[in-house]
Amino acid sequence: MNPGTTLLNVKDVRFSYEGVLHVLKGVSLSVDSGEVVTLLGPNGTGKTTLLKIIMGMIHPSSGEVRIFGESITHYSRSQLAKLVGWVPQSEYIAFPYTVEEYILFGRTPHLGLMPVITSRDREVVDEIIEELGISHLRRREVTKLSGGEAQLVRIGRALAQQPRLLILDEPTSHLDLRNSTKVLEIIHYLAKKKELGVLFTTHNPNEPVLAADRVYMLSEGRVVKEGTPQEVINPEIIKEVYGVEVLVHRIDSSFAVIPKPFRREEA
Amino acid sequence: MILLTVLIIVTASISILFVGRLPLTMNDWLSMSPLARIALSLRVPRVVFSLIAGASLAAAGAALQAVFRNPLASPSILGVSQGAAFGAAVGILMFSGIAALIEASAFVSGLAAVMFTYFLARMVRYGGSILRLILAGMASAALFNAGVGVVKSLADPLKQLPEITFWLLGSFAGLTEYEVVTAGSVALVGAVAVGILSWRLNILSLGDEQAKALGVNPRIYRNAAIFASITAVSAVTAVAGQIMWIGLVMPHLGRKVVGSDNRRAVPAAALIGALIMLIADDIARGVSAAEIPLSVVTSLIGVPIFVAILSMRESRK
Repeated sequence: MNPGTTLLNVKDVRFSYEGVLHVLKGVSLSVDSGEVVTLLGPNGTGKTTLLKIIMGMIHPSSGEVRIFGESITHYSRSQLAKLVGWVPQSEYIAFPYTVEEYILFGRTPHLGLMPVITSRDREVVDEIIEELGISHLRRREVTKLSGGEAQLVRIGRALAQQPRLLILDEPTSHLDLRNSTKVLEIIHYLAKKKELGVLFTTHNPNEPVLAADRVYMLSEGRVVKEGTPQEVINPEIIKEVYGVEVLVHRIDSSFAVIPKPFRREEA
Repeated sequence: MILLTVLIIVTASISILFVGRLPLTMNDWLSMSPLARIALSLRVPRVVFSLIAGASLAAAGAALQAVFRNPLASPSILGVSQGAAFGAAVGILMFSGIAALIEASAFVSGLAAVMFTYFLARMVRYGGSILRLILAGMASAALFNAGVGVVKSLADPLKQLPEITFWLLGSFAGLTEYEVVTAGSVALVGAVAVGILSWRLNILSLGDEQAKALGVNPRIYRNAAIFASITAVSAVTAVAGQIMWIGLVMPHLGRKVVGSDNRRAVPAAALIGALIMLIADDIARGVSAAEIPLSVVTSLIGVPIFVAILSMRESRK
């Protein structure tokens, strides 16, 4: 597949609860293969809702989601699962599956009802474990992983689906600095080396600066600005969307957003 | 490991044919003495049903635990045991002495209780789909329990009440070949269906959103697994009464031995369940002149195992 093929097209999606609470007020976006796209916005702006609509988990009130140019309603669930991988923000796991077993679950869309796990399935899992650098976790129980390890393992399971598009819901929100940087690095690597299209949500404006090619700034259910991180993220729009004063520091070819220091009161 | 369990089961099953209140020798069996013929008609069906009941209760428990994402789930979670108990109690009251009718009443009432649970769950507006089923199951179980109480208070205290009480505690005594074949085959079908669904059980245990993301329709497969489980449980309960703890504890043992992947955990739980059931029934009929109710034995075996598993849960790396 050529980089630049449009994988995902969201057209004017609206969503409201019981016709009253309007969560999404007409959102459009696209993701190409080999591209990292961030859905940026404060908490409660409808980011997760939009991701669930894209995953076909909930239905939009109006508008359309297309994958490879076809409406998602044309795909069966397992066809869709071969194209789109989903990494939830966190999840409750009731049973102590090993990391290897858990990643193997990602093969499900390629398997039958009573699957015979082939050497090909094992190879896929081995490659992913190798690539994510989690060989040492292989036999560990998923219920006993740290936050950062668990996130890598969740990404691993989504990759085992061998999707073309990877969707991650706040992949760094529970992680420390080292782990969140690592996850962003992996996201970037997957898009550039594996030509996956990647869409991830975050409320932290520095994350798209690090890892994304394009950003959609979401505020109160609408896209208020779209473009490269340089084009979208500036003190004015942060002030408008987040209601907070920030400084943008240029660092070589990149930049970082920091809140304006406030006056610290002496005790 | 699995081979070992099978070996133990086979050895135990055969040796049980020789022990009991009337000990039999190899000669008795080879010459098919009258004693052996009696044993054949009494003990063999019992051994066969013990194995089937243990295996299918354990498999059903494993399935329900995966589906409800709760290692403490058991067949009673949807009210199936209580429903069957109510059906049996009513059956004893109305068709005293006609085993087939009592059993049919228990089976139908067990399934009806689960349907009632589903009906209630549709009215619940609290929590996700799984929590709704659990809450509705609690309500439905409580209701059928109350029903059992009502029937007990109406029952003849000399004839029917002891029968109800004994039924509530479970027993394989007096099982006929016909019962073993009918109830046994229904239970087996349920258990085999759970086995077929074992990979889906893994996926369902991750939750609805994960299942959908992996291309699995959670509702269809959850209902299929629940239906298979309650069919197995209802069939066993209908002819043998309530048998506690097997469905809850055996899946834990299975997972301890072979890991959590249900493709291995379900068969392992079934094998261990079959073995423990065989031993439990042997104890029930063997240790005293009068039969001990089966649930008493399974509880005495199940509770310590359960406590042991819970206490070692975190120590394993």
